[in-house]
Amino acid sequence: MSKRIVFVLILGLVALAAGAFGMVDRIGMGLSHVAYGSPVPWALWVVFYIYFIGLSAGSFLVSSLIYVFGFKRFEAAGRLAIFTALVSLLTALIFIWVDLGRMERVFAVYLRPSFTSPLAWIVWLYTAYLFLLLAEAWFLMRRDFAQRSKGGGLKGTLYRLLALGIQEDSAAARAGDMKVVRVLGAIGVPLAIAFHGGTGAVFAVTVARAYWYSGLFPIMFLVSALASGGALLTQL
Amino acid sequence: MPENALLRMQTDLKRALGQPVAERHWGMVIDLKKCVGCNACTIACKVENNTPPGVTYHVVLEEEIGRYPNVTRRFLPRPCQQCEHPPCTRVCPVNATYRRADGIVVIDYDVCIGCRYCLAACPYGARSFDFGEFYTVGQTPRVAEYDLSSSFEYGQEWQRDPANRNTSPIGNARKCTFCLHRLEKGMLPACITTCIGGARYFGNLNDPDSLVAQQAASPHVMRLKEELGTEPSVYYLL
Repeated sequence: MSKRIVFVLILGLVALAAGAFGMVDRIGMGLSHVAYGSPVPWALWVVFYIYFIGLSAGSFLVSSLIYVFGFKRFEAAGRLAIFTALVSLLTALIFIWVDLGRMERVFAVYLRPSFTSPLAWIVWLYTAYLFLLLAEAWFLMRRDFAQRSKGGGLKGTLYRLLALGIQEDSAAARAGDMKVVRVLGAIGVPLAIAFHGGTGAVFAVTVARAYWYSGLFPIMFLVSALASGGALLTQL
Repeated sequence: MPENALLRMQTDLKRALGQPVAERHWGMVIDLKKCVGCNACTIACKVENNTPPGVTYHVVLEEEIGRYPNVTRRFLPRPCQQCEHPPCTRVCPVNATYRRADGIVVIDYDVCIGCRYCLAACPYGARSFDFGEFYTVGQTPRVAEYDLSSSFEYGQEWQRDPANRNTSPIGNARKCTFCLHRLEKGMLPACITTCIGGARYFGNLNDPDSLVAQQAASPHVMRLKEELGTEPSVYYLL
């Protein structure tokens, strides 16, 4: 291993340890250490959640340029965009999950939702989006998994598992995969607009906060998502 | 001798409790001319509901108006407004908070996930979140008894446990309930009985013979942020 990878690995492990310590404290002490109060009910964790969910929506919309609208010259960034969308979505969901007062009750949003609440809509939409992203990522990667699973050993087994046992790697199979990706992407575009517009709507419907209470909010969220998602992919 | 307002409200309360829940509309009238800003109501509320630091069901907002030498202070006691169209209940993703048939907006501590959307949605800042803080635990060498004693909101015993901060009501949104647990036992809310100036009236707004309904019918009455269309059940006499 090169020196750089070792350094990044150590840095990652340190960060992971710090994160684990924080998580243990969060679970044991509840929200008593967050040091914000009722007048400002949402603070840094909600900010991070909005930030990452915007990156996810933005990256996904950039990927749809390639797979749905046929911008071939961005092809190289396609898989990276989907992967970024997936990672940002998971990061966002973890942030908003730890921000809940009662983390263990999160499933109540599925079991007894109130559809007058934009928060319930977006949780359902995020869930659909998560499955869609996983499916799209798998169809994009399947051919590589299939090719690499032909090698033996532990790696081969791992790739065989990831390919779900499908070994087909012909050009025709690849074309079939891309057709599915195209359909998934086409479903994903309105979904991404819905869930991120919905995230904006969470704020836009609160009559109590004058600076949020505006029909422009969902659109603002979408525009900033596109800008930040595009910027992130350019950087990567 | 004029009739004692507290005794009158007590009789009104008994009469209201004899009626079906849907025919009651609990309401409050606060006479701002009689309020001296002593905060006895805030303290009575703290004691009655045993609320931790950062959880305030009731506050008295203070404002200084005028310029020297013509200065005066103005006080605005603010319980939950128990709106007829509450913006807070609609946004709850899990139906944990709702308006009862008698007009009181309640929270089901066994369901609330603690997302705090209702706090953001309340135009009156009437909701608090229980972040799991204590007055003395971890602050002073000896833990005060009141930190560990229970509250009896909604007629149930709620014990906050410093060792396990994942027990309700820690991690839940909390709010004024017009002392629902007292009402059900035929007692007036704590802030009403404690008011030294007799500035607060409470009762069934649907009952035209009740003292509170008579006070609310005054032409000198206002409600907070009427332009939002929330229709509060708390009236202020100017």
